[in-house]
Amino acid sequence: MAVIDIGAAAINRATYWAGPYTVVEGSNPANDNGIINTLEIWAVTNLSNCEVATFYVVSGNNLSTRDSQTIGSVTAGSTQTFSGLSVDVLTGDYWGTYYSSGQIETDSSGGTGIWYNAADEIPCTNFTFGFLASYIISLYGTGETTVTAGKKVLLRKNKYLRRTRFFSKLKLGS
Amino acid sequence: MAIGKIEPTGCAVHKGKVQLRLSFYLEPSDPRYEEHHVQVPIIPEGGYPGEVNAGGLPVDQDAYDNWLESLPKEWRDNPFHNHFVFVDADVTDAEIKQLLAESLEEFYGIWARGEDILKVWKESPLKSKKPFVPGDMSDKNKQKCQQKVEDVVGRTSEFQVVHREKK
Repeated sequence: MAVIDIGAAAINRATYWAGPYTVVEGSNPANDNGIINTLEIWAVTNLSNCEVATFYVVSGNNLSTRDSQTIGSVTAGSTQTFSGLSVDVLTGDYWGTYYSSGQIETDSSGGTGIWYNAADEIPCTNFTFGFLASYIISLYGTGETTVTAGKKVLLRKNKYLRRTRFFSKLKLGS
Repeated sequence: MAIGKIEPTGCAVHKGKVQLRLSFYLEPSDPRYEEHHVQVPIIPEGGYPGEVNAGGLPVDQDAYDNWLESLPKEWRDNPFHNHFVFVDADVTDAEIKQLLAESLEEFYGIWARGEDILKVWKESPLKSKKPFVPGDMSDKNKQKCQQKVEDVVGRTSEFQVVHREKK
């Protein structure tokens, strides 16, 4: 299974973005389809009621959520790592978060930009966000591609062929 | 002596399952304790008093940096890792404790060896790495899951586990 990554490095940055806000990181969209199962986040001050979500662009600055998960409080001052998440992702999706209070590490330059709105937009459908170019937040995720139904059939077929060949060799040998 | 706790704010119903967030903490005698023993500024009510833009960000970065530097600070022990597990609504207390103990042992082991937890978790066949299987999405099951979440969140201290080095 290939590795998927999404979002920007969860590092100590120069400034902050204060909640309550839904913020979607505009750099590094997902490179494959699958499940996001790890999260890294760095907060300046403790985040409350944190959620994460995969977002896709409907058109312009209109975004919808594909999937989401409750994270809860995130403590400030060091990179907080999470494993075991299960958030669906498709190629081209963006990584976003909502928190009701607290601040996430942010740079006002060096990024692609962020979509933002001062309310909980997880989930949302075709919602119009504001956009700030160059900004970047410390929110990163990785995941794994999932075996699709077609691939499963192929894997089963290959297993059957290998087994048939094995038993044919046994018969020939006896 | 690392400690595993259920973090109540990260417990919820997720796709027909009970989601439990496990948070793992270090004691001063543990390896790499200083990495998550951090000093953070105490932000006063109302936050930064200087000029901010529409997004609430400081207009003058230097003024913000000086303000942040001037604030009193406090030491805090952050989790060295957090992990989500998904269980059915009829999970027993013993099963939850078992999951917490197993996860703590694995993650603390990785941590103590000086390795990158997420990298190892992704690449190794660990007990804590189980594929997510969604549960029954009926209202009845979701209600049962919600009741279980509330039950566990109401008594998280009962599930705390401690990892002691084997001698």
